[in-house]
Amino acid sequence: MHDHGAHGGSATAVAETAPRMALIGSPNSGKTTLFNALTGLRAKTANYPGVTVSRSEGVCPVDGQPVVLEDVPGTYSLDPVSPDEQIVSDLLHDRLQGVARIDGLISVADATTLHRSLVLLAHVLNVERPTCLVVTFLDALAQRQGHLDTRKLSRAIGIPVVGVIATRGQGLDAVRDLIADPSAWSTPVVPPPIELGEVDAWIESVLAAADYRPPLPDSRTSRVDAVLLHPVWGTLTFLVVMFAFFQSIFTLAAPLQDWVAQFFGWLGGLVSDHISNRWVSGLIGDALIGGVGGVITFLPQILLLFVLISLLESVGYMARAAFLMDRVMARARLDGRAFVALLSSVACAIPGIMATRTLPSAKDRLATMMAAPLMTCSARLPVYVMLIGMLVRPGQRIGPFPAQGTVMFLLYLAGAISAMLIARVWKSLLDRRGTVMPFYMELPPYRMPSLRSVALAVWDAASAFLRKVTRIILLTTLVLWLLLNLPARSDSALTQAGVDAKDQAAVSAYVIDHSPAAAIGRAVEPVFRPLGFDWRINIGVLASLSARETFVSTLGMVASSENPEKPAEALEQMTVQRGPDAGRKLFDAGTIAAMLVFFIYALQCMSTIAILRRESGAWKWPAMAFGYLFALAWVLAWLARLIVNTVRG
Amino acid sequence: MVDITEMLRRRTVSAATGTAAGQLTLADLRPGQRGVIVGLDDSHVAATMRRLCDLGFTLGAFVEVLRRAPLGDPTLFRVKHYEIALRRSEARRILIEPSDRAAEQHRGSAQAG
Amino acid sequence: MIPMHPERGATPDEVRWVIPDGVFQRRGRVVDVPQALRQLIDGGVIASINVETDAVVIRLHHTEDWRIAGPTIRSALAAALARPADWHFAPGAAIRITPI
Repeated sequence: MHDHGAHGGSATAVAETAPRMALIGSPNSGKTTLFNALTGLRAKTANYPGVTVSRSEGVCPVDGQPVVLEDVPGTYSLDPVSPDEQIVSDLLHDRLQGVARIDGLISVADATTLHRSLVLLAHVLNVERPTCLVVTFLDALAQRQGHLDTRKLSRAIGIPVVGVIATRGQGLDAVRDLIADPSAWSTPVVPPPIELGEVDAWIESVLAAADYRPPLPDSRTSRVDAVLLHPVWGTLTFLVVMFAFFQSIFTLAAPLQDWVAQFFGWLGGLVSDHISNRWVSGLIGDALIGGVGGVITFLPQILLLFVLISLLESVGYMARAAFLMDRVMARARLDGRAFVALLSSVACAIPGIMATRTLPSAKDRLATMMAAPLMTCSARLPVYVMLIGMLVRPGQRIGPFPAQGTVMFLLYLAGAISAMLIARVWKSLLDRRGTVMPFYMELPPYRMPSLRSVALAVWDAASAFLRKVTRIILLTTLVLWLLLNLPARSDSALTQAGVDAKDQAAVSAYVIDHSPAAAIGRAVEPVFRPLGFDWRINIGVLASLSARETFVSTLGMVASSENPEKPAEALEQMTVQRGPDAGRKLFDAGTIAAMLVFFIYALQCMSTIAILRRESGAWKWPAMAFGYLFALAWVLAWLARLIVNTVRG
Repeated sequence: MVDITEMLRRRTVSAATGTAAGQLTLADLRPGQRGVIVGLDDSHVAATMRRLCDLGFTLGAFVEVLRRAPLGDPTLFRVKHYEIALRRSEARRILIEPSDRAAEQHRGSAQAG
Repeated sequence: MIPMHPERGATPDEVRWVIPDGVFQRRGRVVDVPQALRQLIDGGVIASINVETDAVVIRLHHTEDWRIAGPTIRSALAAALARPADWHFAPGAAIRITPI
């Protein structure tokens, strides 16, 4: 979960004339940490042209001159087995359309895995571009009784070698000095061999000349893994971690949520007290503060989830989770890393979809992206809380369990199981030939989380969420409020319609009933009537297509127009106005069940659509996702209503 | 420019010579056991076998089985002084001979292969 | 295969092929080598081969280029190093005194 959105825009401005270097190395080599350390926040991410492979570019100032650094996808070899690695090969051979030529290569290798890491270097040195080597994790090497003489290594390989401890900032100046002039870099007198036996002999010899002593196995990692990967204790710990994860969604964040809710309540009170113009106070109070405030109430919880995910990842636990869950994910024809992406989606599908970058196969990536929106994200929570509250009384129990909690748990479970099934279906569709992609996964040693990277990752995810809130939710709530409250009716028009102009509730009810929003809601009634929805719910559903959270505030606006003091009661008392089941209580069990199921499946998030577009590189994927999920949601919601109504007799 | 990827794709993964049917593979070892790689199944997807070599599973390399996931797959191995997990479907392509020697992982100066 | 790697020598046409200790018991100019390496000498590619303490120093004929000849020489050298007994040194070549 590293570089998410654009950090800054200056990389584009530097463009053509600046020298370009590519950082190349295996995943887990410390390459991205080095990239972040050299480019600071001056990096932007995009996709390579036409493919599902992400691309990071940043600017590193060297002696006042900008140098463009490209963080190439992690790869183990220039003999590719995945689209990511194919991109690396194409990039190095200047075969990529629209990508400028690379002037120098910065090979990054983990000092604790040199016997394997130098294989890639051997391949890269055959490309015959100025290349230097940056060796990372020298501190870990020393701590585990290993040793390396970088000067001797440089002489043995024939290229400049710099040792770096990126987390401490050591060696970064030496790297910057090196980047300043790639033409001055020494080159090997004879390129290293690439035939399998010969390259081993070369690596052995070079490391011997560098006085390399490989590190002992990391005792701390071994001891921790003895528990965390133990069949019994490991599984237990995993379940506890997952439980804690989900518990934090509800209990830990609660006090913070209350505080935020109080704040917005106070703000809303200020507005209604001090702004006399009812129209303006309604706009600011209901639409802006009510709509946005309702969502920001969930920010503490989302932040907490992001912090947890990020911590688990930087400590190294996520790789263990992927290891434990691989067999389960294999049933969905995916691998353990997809589990991490789906887990992240519980906070928000956006970082979850971005986390699919760790999956080596493009088909895996797409299948997981199509399934990620089904994981119960935080945006669904306000909707679920509201609907469950109407369905089940707080004290009710199902057997020994509290009913409300049980329904919530079942909703999460339904989301997770559906995600797995859907991932499997998509993977089968995308991969009809059943091509075999080798599975291999490094388990890096446990590391102290770099608070800086955790903070960066949380900031990335949080700012993506806040951007969604401020742009999409704000805009939607505003537009909706206007559509519901315009056109303003004059007193005479009201009286003509038989409405008492002094009765606020009656006036707003009339206005809403004859608003453009109502017209739209009625227009789509044929689509949603089988699900038990009426025009009021329809407006909510249509609004929620932009962002699920707006469903609550939309219904809130409609309800408070009928009963400003007690909107919740208004919802309870709403009845169907027209049609064959007129007079039925609108929010009856069947309809609520339909709504819940609809929200499990429907893709109601413009941000997710945007991210799907960006990560998959084409509009057809988000379009298909939206289409099939809408159809699925409709059918299953209809079924849910049918079943609930039948059971209730 | 020489296309290094093309040259790499043409690498041959040498199979074991004189292997008998029912040869021991990496998938047959239990956690705690060690072996030396004596061959690679060249009837399997060539790109996969080449990738296993690039990951360090080369002829003559020592492999130690560290642990198996609770559900039976994948298995964590130590090879070339680092740890990597493979599924059974890949592990059974690597032919080994069990080795009891402790500390075979070379430290410092290389020995003749 | 015997571990080895090339390093730049004293002059541009010289490359030191660093090998482990103990492959050879003698040092000095080499007058005969096995097979493929022999062919490269006869073919005028390699000008001379000298064994030093930790490396085999090969000097190319001045018309040749290490970037081009390198891979071929590497393979031939690797094969030749598998048979150190078939390397013949010039008379007067120093015998390595291995420390006890």
